[in-house]
Amino acid sequence: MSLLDRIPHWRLVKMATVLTALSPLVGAASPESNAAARDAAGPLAQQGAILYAVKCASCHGTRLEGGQHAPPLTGAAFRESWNQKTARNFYSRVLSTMPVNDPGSLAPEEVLRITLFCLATNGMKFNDEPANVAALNKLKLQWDK
Amino acid sequence: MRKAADPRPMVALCLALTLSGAAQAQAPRSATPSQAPRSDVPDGQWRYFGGSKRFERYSPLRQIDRGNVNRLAVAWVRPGLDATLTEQFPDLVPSSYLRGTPMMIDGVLYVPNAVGLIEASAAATGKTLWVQQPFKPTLREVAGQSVRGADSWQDGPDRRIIAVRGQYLYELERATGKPVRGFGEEGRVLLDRGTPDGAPYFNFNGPIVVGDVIVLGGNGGGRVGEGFGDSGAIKEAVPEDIRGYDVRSGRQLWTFHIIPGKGAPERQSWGEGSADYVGHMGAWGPLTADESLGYVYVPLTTPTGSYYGGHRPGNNLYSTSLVCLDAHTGKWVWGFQTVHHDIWDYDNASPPILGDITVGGRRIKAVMEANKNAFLYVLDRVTGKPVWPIVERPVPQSSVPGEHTAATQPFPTKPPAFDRQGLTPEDLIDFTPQLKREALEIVSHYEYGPLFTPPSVASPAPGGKKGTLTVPSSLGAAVWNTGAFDPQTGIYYATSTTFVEAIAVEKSKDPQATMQYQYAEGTPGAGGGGVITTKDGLPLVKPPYGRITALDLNKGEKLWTVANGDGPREHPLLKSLHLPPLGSPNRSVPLVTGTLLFVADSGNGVMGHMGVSGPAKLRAFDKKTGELVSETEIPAGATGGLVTYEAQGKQYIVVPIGSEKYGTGWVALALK
Repeated sequence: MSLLDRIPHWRLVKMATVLTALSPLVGAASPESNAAARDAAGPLAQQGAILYAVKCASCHGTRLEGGQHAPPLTGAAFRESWNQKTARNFYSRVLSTMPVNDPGSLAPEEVLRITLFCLATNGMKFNDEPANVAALNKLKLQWDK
Repeated sequence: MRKAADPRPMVALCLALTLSGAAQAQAPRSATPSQAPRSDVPDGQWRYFGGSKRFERYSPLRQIDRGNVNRLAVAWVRPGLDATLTEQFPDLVPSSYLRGTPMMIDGVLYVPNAVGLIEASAAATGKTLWVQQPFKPTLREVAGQSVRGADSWQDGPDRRIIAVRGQYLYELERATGKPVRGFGEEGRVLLDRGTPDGAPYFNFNGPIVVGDVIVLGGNGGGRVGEGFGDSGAIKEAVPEDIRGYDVRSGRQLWTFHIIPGKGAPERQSWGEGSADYVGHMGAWGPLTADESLGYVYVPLTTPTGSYYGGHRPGNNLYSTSLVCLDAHTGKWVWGFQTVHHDIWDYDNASPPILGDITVGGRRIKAVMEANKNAFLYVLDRVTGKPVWPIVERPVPQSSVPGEHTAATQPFPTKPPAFDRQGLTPEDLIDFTPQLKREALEIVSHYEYGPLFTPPSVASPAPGGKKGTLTVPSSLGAAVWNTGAFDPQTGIYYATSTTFVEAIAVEKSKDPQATMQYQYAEGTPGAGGGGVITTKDGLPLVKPPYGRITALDLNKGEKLWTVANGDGPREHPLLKSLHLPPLGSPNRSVPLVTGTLLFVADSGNGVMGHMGVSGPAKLRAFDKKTGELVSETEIPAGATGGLVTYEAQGKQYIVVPIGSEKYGTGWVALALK
């Protein structure tokens, strides 16, 4: 069964709404950063945007802005928390703890895509988009202050 | 298999009484007791994660006192996840929100770790004794979230630890941590509720055992992919019913339906047939129990559509209510609704603390429920009747199309509210004229007023209002961390926070929406829980922003209030003013001992933003006066409850800590 087959119809509609709102990839910050995110997003990150909308947006916000019960996945606080860690660290955290009501239910390939989407949204640029989980080990997270 | 409890004895009379703030008495009846030691007998142990099942967060220990508390120092630190697990699963990286609060029984700490597996360690040294192993050696099985606590049970030599993790109820042998094979299937019971779309069950509070019955609430109740269910535009969900299980076999004994069944008069409080489709209302705060009465106390929360209730006209019993059940049978004893037709997300998210008070010369077995709205509802826990009158008063009415605001809400006449309620221009921050002007300008863009001013629709018109400012906010003046009770003195200590929150609703845009209105995407401040601040991040109102309030429940009066933590006194705009502590708006848990009141800063592991990012302070206050006696640095802020006990002749205080920088752990402090 494909991923889309497992998504309730009303969720798909919601997802389309979210994706429209995320145009071109996310609407989190300035037009400049939107463009940067779009440029940084490879095919896996773009698939991650769909997964994010289905699995994550209800708590973390459609623009990764966070919510009442969940921290933002963008902005200064997010970058401070993850600066100098590796993409694998972020991947492992998501894999181990999310979604909050059913941790462990996401497949590794789904978490890989969500990870790349979140990092692209935060302006991470990849020369070559990491194609597998192992490639995340060497990807250090750092942002200019 | 499921045996539904008789939902409503004596309901005809009760509906009217409950709606008017009273309740119906029923003769006490004990759950069948095993030989387990009672948790409510103080003996230097910490038999449940709230101290006892009464959840006083109290210990009579007094080795650490006012005269020596400044010699408190770190005795040991334990990681939030035992190294054997991280070695076995390198990708296991837990959340920094370590909820796990230990219980201490016979010199051993038992606590859910950072992924919810139980760990046992020596209370005096923190050294590992055993670690619960995942059911299968896979990351799918070991992945998880921390849970606030576990419980224990014994019958002679048969001693067990009871825990909830993910979708399962577990029993472990207390001596070894190995599964109790005769319990459920190989030591666990699936808690799936058979919701239409298979929404996963989850429970951050853990179980409570009363007699030989395990009682469970839950935090889900919604739909797949819906998160916590506070927003959204789908009215169809599932109520998070309360369930009882046989402690020996794991067989389900009863279900208490938190939306009354067909034929019950309370069902009339759900108009337009909404009782058939509305859900949520789960017990987000811990359950508590009176082991002598055999009663369990269940704090219930908001129904589907936390900020819009046009699809559920009526008072909506037993949403946002405190309900008392007979733990043995699951039968309803009494219920009290604290907020009618809740559209503020004013959950009863705090533990219903049990304690005995003396009012007008009469000894009363009381239950004290702190609501997010900053009222403490004090009831007779046998009858559900208010100790002091709780009166219905008119409240502002909603302008949102289709909404059915309750005409009145129940207001306790005593004790007074323990945090700020409502908003007026006089409440705004005024350390400098510039700050006051800025705050006035900000609030001019919103509706605001007294407590229970309802959410509103944001206007797109130039100069139109952006929604409603609510105080307290839906983040809560009081939630899981709030409340401790001193049975020596009858004093209740409320730790609370002050936030100004914007709540706006909008017409649902989603073509699949079944609610006419929903929480508005783009509500100002939504990324920080809707909190509205000045442009420089200062609160809009006067301090304190986090406070401790002592309430004398023998008299129903406030004794004192102190700021809890420094707050923004070092903010660039305030530093030169040399202000006293302003209070930090975080999730501080109180702990009362023989002479002191301990409160720790919370760490930003709590929901990722509710606390400090670096080292934190454990503060000791004189419990009589609120005077700050000492501050001790701990590596990160608290993310769960404070615990104290005596081991090998020494009093320890243990704090679950967590922050994004530090990670997670438990730090134990003792006199050096």
